[in-house]
Amino acid sequence: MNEPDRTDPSDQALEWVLRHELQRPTASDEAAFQAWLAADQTHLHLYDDAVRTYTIANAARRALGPVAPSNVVTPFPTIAPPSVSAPPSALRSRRWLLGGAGALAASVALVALVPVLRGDVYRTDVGERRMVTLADGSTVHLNGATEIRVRFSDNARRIDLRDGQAMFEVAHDPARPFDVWARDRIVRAVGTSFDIDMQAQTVSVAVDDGVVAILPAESGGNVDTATLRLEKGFALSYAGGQAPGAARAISLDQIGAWRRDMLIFDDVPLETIVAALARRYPGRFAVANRRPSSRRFSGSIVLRERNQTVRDLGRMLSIQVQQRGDQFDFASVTKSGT
Amino acid sequence: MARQFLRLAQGLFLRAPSDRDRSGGVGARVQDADQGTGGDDIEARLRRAFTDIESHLRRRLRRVLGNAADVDEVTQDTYLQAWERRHTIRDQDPRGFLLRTGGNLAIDRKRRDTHRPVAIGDELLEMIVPDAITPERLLIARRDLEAVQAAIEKLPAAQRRALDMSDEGKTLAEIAAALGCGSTHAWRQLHAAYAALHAARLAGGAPNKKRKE
Repeated sequence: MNEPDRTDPSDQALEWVLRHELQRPTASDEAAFQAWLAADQTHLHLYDDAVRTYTIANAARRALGPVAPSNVVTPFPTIAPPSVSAPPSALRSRRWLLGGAGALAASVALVALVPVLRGDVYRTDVGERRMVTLADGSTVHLNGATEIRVRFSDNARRIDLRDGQAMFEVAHDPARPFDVWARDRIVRAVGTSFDIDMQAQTVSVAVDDGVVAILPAESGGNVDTATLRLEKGFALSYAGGQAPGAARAISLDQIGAWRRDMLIFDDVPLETIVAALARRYPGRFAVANRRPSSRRFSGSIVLRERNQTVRDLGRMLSIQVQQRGDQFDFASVTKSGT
Repeated sequence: MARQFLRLAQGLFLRAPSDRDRSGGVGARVQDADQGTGGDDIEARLRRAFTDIESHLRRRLRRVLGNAADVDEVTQDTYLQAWERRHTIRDQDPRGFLLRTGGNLAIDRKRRDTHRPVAIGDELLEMIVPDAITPERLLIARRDLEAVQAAIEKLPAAQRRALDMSDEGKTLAEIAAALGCGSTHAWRQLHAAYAALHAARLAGGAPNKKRKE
């Protein structure tokens, strides 16, 4: 690309603005631009002025809306405009995003069920969410791809979290401890609210309100000196056969964020994020690293339509996502870019 | 709460989950033990700017859009669009760049909801032209906006269409294909359109016919 040959410096400034805004300038473009700036001290002012016009023009155009198609006069009528086969622009993609968000909202089933039989099983499909009201008045919010079994007796309330993620709001009943069995640990609450996220290797517990106790499953629920106490605003994780990790402080907003269509992650590997997507959206989600990556991710994102969310994450985290139909392979590359 | 989380994030969070996370938010930090945090200077500047400006941006968007769900989506889209176009930031203050991006997206959202032209109030105008913080500057920005809007209405159809497509994110090749011409001609249409608007703005509402094709 050569330097503009227009003689009017104001036109030249506009040309540079358009090049910068609409094209990816090359190194030689940049050198030519710097030379143009240095050639006259008024050029910088002209450039800034052209930027202002560009800014206002775009806002003005958007406010007016696109010209109606019927009023468009194609300057070359002998050549038929091609069908729009290019990738959807950001604007178009967001139009169908709204429809997707609506469908997602519709898929959130708020079902109040009162189990009358012991050993009731509740499960959700991928992308589905349910709120279950238990016989004691406690509520369980099930994330997608989650299964629990509920067994109540006169002196115990036992939930087996078999898979997935659930948030529990426990009715106060000191005579009957509320135990959630998650792999080889029991999370016990008396009257509290907490979230348990069961992933492939680890189980994470986060307390939104009150206190929970975490006991080895083999204790059978008998509290002893090995019992861990986890208070409001703290979380910990454990893996099968290993001692739980240290408790860490956690934002209360982060706990159960999935219920608000949010994905909040704090210093986690890519696998954790991908697992959350797999729970939420239909399709197959996998991490396709050639070698283990030590990259850790923190942040938050609004969960929208599946493909839009995948694109958002790819851009935000500078990760590559390859889609083949319903298969999404996430690659934790280290080079940033979109 | 946000401070607590910020401490946990050791200042590296693009944004800390805050009370706004109750219904929305966007942002990410990547920490790579092998190769550092990565990214060049402009990326770091953009991340810092978003951290600095997010609550301010949200307040502005809330005034303009009026509902939290739209604010969440537009905030997220602001970051994503700014990230995609970060190469255009150059020496600009990225905070202003983010505000302008958010302002433009807010206009899109309002127009899509109403299916009618959007009246740009002072709050939106201050986002789009973030240096317009004094009454006098706001007045100038208002005059500029009206001059440019009037000039847009008078653009030849091909230039107007090129302008629309450019602002919708179409590439030059896509614009050329849609217009049924080559990229060079499409570029000229775009340049002529912006030149006409530039002249109109500088003239304070009198489009310079000489510059129009």
